[in-house]
Amino acid sequence: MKRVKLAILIIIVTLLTTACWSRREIENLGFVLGLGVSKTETGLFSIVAQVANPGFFVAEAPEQRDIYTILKAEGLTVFDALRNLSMISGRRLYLSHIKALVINESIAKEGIGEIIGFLVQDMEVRLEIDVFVTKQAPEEIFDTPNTLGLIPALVMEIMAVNYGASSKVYVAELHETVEAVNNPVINYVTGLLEKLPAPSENEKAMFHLTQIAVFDNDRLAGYLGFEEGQGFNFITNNFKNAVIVFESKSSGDLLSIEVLESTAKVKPKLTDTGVGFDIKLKVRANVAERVPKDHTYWELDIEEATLQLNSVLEEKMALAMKAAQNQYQIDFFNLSRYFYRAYPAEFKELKDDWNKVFSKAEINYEVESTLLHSALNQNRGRI
Amino acid sequence: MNNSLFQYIKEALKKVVKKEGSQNQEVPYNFNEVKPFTGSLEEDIALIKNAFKNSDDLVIRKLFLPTRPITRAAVIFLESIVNRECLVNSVIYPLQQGIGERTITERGELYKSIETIIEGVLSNNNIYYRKGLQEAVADILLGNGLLLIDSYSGVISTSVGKEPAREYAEPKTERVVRGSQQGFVEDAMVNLSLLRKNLKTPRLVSKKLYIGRESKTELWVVYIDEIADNAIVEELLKRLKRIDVDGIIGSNQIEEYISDAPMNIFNTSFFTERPDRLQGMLLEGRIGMICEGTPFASVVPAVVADYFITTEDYYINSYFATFNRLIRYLSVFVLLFFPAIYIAISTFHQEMIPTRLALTLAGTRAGVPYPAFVEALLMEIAIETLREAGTRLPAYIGQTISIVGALIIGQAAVEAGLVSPAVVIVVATTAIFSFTLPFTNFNLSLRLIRFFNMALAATLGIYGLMTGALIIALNLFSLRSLGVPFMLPFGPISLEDMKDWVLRLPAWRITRRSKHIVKGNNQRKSDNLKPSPPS
Repeated sequence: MKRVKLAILIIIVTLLTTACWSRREIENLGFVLGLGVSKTETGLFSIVAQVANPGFFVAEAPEQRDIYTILKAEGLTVFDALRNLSMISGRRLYLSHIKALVINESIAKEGIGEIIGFLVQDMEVRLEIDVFVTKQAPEEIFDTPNTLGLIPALVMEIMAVNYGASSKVYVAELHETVEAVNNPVINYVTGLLEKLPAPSENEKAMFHLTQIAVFDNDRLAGYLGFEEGQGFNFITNNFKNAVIVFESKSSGDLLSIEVLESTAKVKPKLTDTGVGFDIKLKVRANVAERVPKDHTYWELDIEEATLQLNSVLEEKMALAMKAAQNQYQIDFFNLSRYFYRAYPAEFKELKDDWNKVFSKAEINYEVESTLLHSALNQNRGRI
Repeated sequence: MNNSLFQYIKEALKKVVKKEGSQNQEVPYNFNEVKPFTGSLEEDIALIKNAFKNSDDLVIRKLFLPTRPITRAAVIFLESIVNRECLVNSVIYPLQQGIGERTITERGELYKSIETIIEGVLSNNNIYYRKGLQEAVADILLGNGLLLIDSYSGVISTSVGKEPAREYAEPKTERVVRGSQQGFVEDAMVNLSLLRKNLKTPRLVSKKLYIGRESKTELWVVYIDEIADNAIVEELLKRLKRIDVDGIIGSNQIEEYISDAPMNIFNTSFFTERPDRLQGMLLEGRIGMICEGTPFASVVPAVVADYFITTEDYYINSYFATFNRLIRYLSVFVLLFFPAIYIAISTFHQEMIPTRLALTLAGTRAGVPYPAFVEALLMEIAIETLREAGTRLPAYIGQTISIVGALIIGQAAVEAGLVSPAVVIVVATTAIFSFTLPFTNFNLSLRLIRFFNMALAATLGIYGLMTGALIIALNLFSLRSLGVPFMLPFGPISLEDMKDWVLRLPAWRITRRSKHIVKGNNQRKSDNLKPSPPS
């Protein structure tokens, strides 16, 4: 009995002395969903936080602008700026649910290393945050009420998840950023987010992922267009179910090919003349659409279409590679990883000068595509 | 390749299951054995007593037949299932009291042989002459009285059985749709007769005890000999005999006196108010206790699986019964942890909630004046109070209470912003899940432990919750019910027992009794009962 009493006493004391350490009620948190970073003219960090207004979020038909608040503060560092935010927010800012990190171009050009540091060290922040680069001010980007009824940062998250529908852009997550910042050889790309003016009178302004931003290690170097973007996604195995359109050589019809699955295998080689890569791309696709010229109906020659698709894909990859090798001279495909795995000793020597080595590398392409299904019935294309 | 892998797994599983059942050897028992009566009254009585394993409801009424010289005789019957009035009027009275109305010569004629007694003296309507012991025993089990006469090799069976009447109650806590609507009543003898009607075997042993110095409460211990483990029976009788109290009110008190873990929050015995449930459990090798004055039979040893089983499971499709059982297992986890998880993640681990749900929770909690723990605690206490109020009040007012309490007060509290809708959902869901469990002591213990878990979650978050879960698990796994592990079939794990206790496989697949409860006689039925089309 004595032991039981002692046990009960210990339990009670333990429970009471914890005093609900680090307890915080959910309604007292300021849920930060989006974080924007830019620099002021005086060189201070400017932080924009998109904080959800949960009370309006659960209301039956809230005004779109009421469901979020945008807070802005400046500080010597990112952390300092965030703490300065809490002076105006009233609520304790809670970073675990950040969905989007928007980095202003001006800061990106100087290097994102100094802002990423805080996000890695803070224990609340997750590494799944989608990272965007923007040319506009982050507060402007975040202040985009939309008809989906969502907080803009959540819309950005959805856009990032769905980039594969076109595969013309790519949005990286924070852990990729961190890896690129920490490793001087690894380079980095992510999406450029722009706010477009409303397409019609009663519509609202919208987000648009327009380009791929290319980073040299952690400094913004330039942008890639849509064609190059698709080539990039093919080489880096990030191509999802997107569409490729080309004109059939024999009939002149426009063919839309929907890619189902694409895998690229990169084989590095080291010859006397320098470094080289064999890129072998395997694509399985469907013919999704056919726009016949002159409203005539031809039987589709699958073999010919396949061959032509091969060359189209090769061109796309070559285009992206040209941008990397000639225009920027940055290995943003991170082909260095393949090389490192195959030739670890040689890589050590080439490491410091890798981008230069890469820009002189000889690249061979081999595309093998399979058109699984024409996806067209007899009447399709005849109209 | 796929096929062979599948085959391999199947074989391996078969081995595991086989291994468990392989030691179970069938004890030969010949039901058709015919033992002739010897003709000596003492020997014949002993024979019958032995056949009934000295059950205490087997009554032997010795009497003298007024022949010259006097012949000794005995009437043997099962007290619980005979109609005593009929027995006295049609058998005992004519044999003894009818003398005075006859002359001596008449008497000499009448008591000359068994045939003349049957024809001339007994006024019973159906009378049979039995030579073999098996027939005689079967007659007793049907409610007949057996007349043994010294120096006659043979017995007379008289029909004195009870008229079938619905003197039993309708089961209130274990209602079923398709099964029998019979329940136990307060009268122990009636309960015993219900049991005797379902189990017509002389091996159904009944032992009578009187407990309580003043109350002298009648307690019948029933079990099936050669199935129930003798060691457990002896241990139970030993524990029962040392209960020295002034009085007993109901069978739950007896359970408390014989418990293996008296201080534990979990009871290690089971109760049922259905004769068919008790019948099934006796066949599994359990021991029943029927207490005078309680319309529930207690059953030991109990295992945790019992609390998830309802009798209905055996009256419906086995797939659906299994589904129901899995829901009940899920319910235990919801009941124990759902409010606690709500508290833990809404006060400590907000990063675990999907973003939109987190925003919704935060939005609904805005303006609620107390912390999530206090809020949940208040609501849980409110719902327990409602439950208690509904149970205590007469049935027709009980309905009103739930409407007033749950609907009106709940709605008003949410609208006034005193509680958040989320916590109402959590508490109501927990309550509904808890109602899927049959009404047992186990269920009540879990309800209490929920509060313990909530407190842990409110102070230490998920860490506290896991600590609570560990404490509960360790406690449960340490329990024994009369020496049998309480957590069967989970600890020790027993695949064979899960066939019936966790899943509900078709009846022809459940062929063995648990080797943890029954020692030796494990084969319940033959192994190849699966019906198949004629070849």
